[in-house]
Amino acid sequence: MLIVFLTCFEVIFQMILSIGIYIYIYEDECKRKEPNRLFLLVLIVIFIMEVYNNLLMLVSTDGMLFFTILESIWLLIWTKKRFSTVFIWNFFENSTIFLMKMPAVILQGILSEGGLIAVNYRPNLCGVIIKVLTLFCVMLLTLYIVKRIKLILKKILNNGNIFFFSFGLIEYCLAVYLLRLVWIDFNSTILLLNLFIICCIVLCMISIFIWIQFKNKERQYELNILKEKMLQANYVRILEEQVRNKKINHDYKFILAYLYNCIEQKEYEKGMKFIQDKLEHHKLKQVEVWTGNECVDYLICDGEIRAKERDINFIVDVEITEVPIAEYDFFVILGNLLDNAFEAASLCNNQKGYVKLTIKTINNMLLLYIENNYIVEPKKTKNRFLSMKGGGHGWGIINAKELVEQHDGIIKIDYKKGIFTVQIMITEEENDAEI
Amino acid sequence: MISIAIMDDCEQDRELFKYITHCYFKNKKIEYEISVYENSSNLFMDLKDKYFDIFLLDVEMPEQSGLQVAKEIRKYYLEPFIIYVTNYVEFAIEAFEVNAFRYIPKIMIGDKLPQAYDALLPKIENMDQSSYIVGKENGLERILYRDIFFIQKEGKYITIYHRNGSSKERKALKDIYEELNSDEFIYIDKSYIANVKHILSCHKGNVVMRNNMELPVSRPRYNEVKEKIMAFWKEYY
Repeated sequence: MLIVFLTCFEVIFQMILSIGIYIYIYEDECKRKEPNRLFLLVLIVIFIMEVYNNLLMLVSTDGMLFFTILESIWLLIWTKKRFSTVFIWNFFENSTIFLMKMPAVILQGILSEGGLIAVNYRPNLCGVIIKVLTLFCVMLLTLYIVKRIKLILKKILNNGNIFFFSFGLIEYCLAVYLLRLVWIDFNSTILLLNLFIICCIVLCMISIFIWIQFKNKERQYELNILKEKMLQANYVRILEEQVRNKKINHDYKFILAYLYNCIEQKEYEKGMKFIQDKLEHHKLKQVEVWTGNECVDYLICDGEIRAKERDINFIVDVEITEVPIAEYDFFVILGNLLDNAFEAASLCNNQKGYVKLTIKTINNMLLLYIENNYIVEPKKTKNRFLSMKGGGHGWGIINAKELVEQHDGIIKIDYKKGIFTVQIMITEEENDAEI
Repeated sequence: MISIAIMDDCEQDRELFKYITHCYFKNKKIEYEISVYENSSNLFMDLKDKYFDIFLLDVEMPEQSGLQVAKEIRKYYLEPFIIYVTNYVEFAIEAFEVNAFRYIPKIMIGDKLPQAYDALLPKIENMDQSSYIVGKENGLERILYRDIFFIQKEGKYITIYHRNGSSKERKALKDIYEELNSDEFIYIDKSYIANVKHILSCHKGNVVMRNNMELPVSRPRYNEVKEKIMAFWKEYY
């Protein structure tokens, strides 16, 4: 009865070592958190089978393989990870346990008269106690180590499966060899020799393990250095950009002051020339469009010139009475969107590019609709469209979106089958409806 | 019946426009009603409770120009049919800003006004005539969809707010929404159905209706309502 009780403990320790530790390593990736009845039932069946097997013999190579496969399948369904990872871990762990039990069995075999065969097939209290104690110590040691090297173990399990597999395989072969050897001919010289071999192999394995760890760390270190270099380069770029922006900002107020002065002195020609030089725009000889809003007129005229230059069809349908938001904000929105539309339409080589602009004032709302064709699929990163100009900025649409949302408006961007559309609705901020 | 509003500060011109209009509709055997206004304030007073199919406006008025009057009219009508009459050609371009249907120089009024009416009548006849019938104690009331501003749920009753006031009926809001079965009506809140055509603006979680009432939009629906308004007008034009 005591043997049965102890064997139960032995199997529990075994299961903790194989299944328990694996679940502990992957606890954050496990699909299931709470075991359901079926899972528990299967586990209990495996447990009973293992207890039965251990009661029949002290160590069994076939039994070890059989239970490795069973536990692997159970773990596979539980964690939903790759079979190879699960199987290799179990194989390695069970082989280690198997090898740990070997000295106890061999030692008992030496001491008893019947030899190893007799001891192994007729489990006695002494043998079971040694086994359980050995396993208990191994379990405590493993738990102590695993807590500290959980992350490393996880990384090795994910990447260095081959190491665990070869380690497990060698352990298994060694255990089988030892069993067969003591079966045929058994004496103390062979035992010492084999113990020496075991120690050498374990030392080799530990060396390989440390070497792999060292290599990993080395790679990690190189990667970190590379990252740091990239980060440094980015910082330098940001710094340069900041300096450039500061310069622009610094000049900006003087530009505005200059323009203000031009307007105040009524030197419009001078101011216009300055703006044209700055914008590198074509001189708008005459605004030929009349929509009722000077900003829209300017942008449409500018658009028409660009359309002519790039052979783009520019269709305009504007019915506008009042712009419900600040005129300069609307100018920025429309300017940015038209800029993007012309940029995309001009790249249509195999077909004629077109830009369709519709602006309507409906009740106190302004509806803006811009449609254009494109050939180069728009690239989007972190909700931002990348510019096709090569500058990599693409802030136009972001700025327009922010301004629209700032005024409690709505913007809808859509692109499919070579047609890019932007719909905007802005409503009057101050309610002046009267009836 | 076609209702026409004529506004001109010159009595002679007013009579002339009235006479041409009278002759035109009499010849065409169309029922009509002409309202004549000397200044804009009288017209604005009538705008509150009267519906006009056509506006004939003089551009040069002493108090308020015809163009300013048109801007005011647009607050009451989504697409008013406005014919401008003027002596000055330079006003023509500005008139388009406020959706003028026609621009007629005064010297050509005899020829051009009937032509303008010819072009306008089919448009007026083709206007959506869909309507909803409300049962009342003294009979039935027909409310055109385009006249409905919004519908409000009040317990087991609903109140339809329209151009001519309001009408109450015992009905579920969901049922009337299904009966109306039109894209121009949208749910803005669990207690309100609004006519998109009469939503003047949409701001800070509210919509302002043409009858100057501000209705709350439920927070989760706010963006959806804005999207629906935008989609409706995109389809409309």
